[in-house]
Amino acid sequence: MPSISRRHFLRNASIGAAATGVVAAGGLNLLTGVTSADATTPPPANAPDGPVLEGSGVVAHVVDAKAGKISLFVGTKHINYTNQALAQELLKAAK
Amino acid sequence: MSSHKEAPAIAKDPAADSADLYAFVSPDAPDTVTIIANYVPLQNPDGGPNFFEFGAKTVVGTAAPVGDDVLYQIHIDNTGTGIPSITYQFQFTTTILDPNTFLYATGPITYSSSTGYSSTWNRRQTYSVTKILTDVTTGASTSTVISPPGGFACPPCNVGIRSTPNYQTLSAPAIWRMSDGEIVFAGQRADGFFVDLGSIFDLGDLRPISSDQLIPGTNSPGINSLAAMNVHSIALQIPISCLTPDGAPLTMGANDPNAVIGVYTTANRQTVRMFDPTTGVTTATGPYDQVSRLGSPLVNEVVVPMASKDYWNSQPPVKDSQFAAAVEHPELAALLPVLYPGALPNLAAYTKARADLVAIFATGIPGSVIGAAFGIGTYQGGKVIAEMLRLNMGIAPTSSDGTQPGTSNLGLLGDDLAGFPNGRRPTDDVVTIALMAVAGATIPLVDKTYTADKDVSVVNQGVTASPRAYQAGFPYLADPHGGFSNPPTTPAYNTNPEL
Repeated sequence: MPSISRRHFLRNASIGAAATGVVAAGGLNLLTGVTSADATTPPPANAPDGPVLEGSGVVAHVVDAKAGKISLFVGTKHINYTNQALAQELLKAAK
Repeated sequence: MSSHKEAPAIAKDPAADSADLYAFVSPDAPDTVTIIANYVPLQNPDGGPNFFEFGAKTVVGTAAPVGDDVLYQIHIDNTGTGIPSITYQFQFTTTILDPNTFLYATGPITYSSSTGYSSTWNRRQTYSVTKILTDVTTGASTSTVISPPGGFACPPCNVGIRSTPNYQTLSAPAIWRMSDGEIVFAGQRADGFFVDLGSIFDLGDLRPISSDQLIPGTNSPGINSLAAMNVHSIALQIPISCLTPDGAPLTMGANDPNAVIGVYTTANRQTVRMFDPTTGVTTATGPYDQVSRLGSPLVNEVVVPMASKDYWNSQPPVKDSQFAAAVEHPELAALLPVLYPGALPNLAAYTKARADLVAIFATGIPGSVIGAAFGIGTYQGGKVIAEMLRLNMGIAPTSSDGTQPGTSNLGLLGDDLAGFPNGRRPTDDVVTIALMAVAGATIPLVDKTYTADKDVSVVNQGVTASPRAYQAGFPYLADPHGGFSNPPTTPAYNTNPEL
């Protein structure tokens, strides 16, 4: 936490506006740490070809082990995947 | 109410909980329609240190965004099919400038037209807007980001006179014009909805007629439970020519074949959310599934049965025929004669399906129902079952505050066609309108054999809207109540309740 003093507090209030913020004209937003890539709008709801978001990983949900039905969730996608052997292997690993 | 915490699951997720939806021809810009979708309900203004915000991924420094977010959407059906042809999507990003302090504001927050908000605003939000146009016959759609790179800025919450001094100077700059001519605002507002929650949900003990209740009390005026509460609004002002299927302005007024739109809002979250105990961060994966929706007020609140409410929230309006039975035979219509013995004998004896409520909530009111009285041939269409807030954009705006002759905050029930259920204005008393409608006031519109009970006219919540919650221009809901001066029990509130 930064040191808090009366001088620091008042300095923040008076010059802080210059440090970061939003430029009204044209709506340019230059918040610290936000690049245009960061602010890219995710695809529409349930978009079939959404990007794989780094760090979100892949989640597998064994819906029906007997039939080998697995739901895969990655990025903004939901993939229905059928693989009996994999489903059984996952069940085995989960025991 | 009108959709605050209306379903068991969404009640636990305020950031995704749609609270109110308004749609009306803008009174000060009648060639436009204003749509306001409210989320994050029931905010006590002093709710720090983590003040209220939209659901968003978080950015700290230069790191990639983390967390799970909410996809907010406003949908518009302009083809009468129940399927939206225009959708606006909003996604928010939270940015923390200094992660090593717990403070929302590290000093007074200011705004400069050249450099924006001061760095003393430590935790802030921006948002992107995407417009999706869909051909409802083919399903083909185009998606365009209509916000600039980096998005638009929200204003800060109204923390108090030291952290957010001269609040109007902080909120006014957060109104943005988009590339297609729309105006947008997203941020904290005073909640303009007015309702007596304490009486409504205490077995419908309406204070003005409490002495007639099954368990009688003393008659008194209603209490506005939301009088000092805030909400988060997403507000759009859209040229009418952007809302018609042919992109042209209306030429035949209320009888124009393109005059009627249906509006609803949804919130979506990704299917899988996982909490990582090693970082304290929740991550999300999968498609954005609909978890909340709102068209007309009070439908999911008091019409849909409890066990179906969160399922209703997940469904598109075009599938609403599955809920038709709850509208045709609403539980509340059966309860009212029990709660007010002897007051509503005609309603108690009425066993037909409620075609009036189906028209109000599910299909839109056909012109044939009210056309003869008001000379409006189409009014709202009235064909497809799809619960939306329908608005005939050709009906000229009036002021529902009673300052113009013939205007009424009871909308259609007050012979004011510019109000609910023709869209909804912030000052419309939708609770009383809905109570009177369910109590039988609107049955004669569709069933000439029915005579409304004489006591229908006294069924009301007795709540007066607080002028403090509104402003004359966009976004029409006023600046939020300030934290330092609220709730009203604080001495500062007595000094200046406007803060």
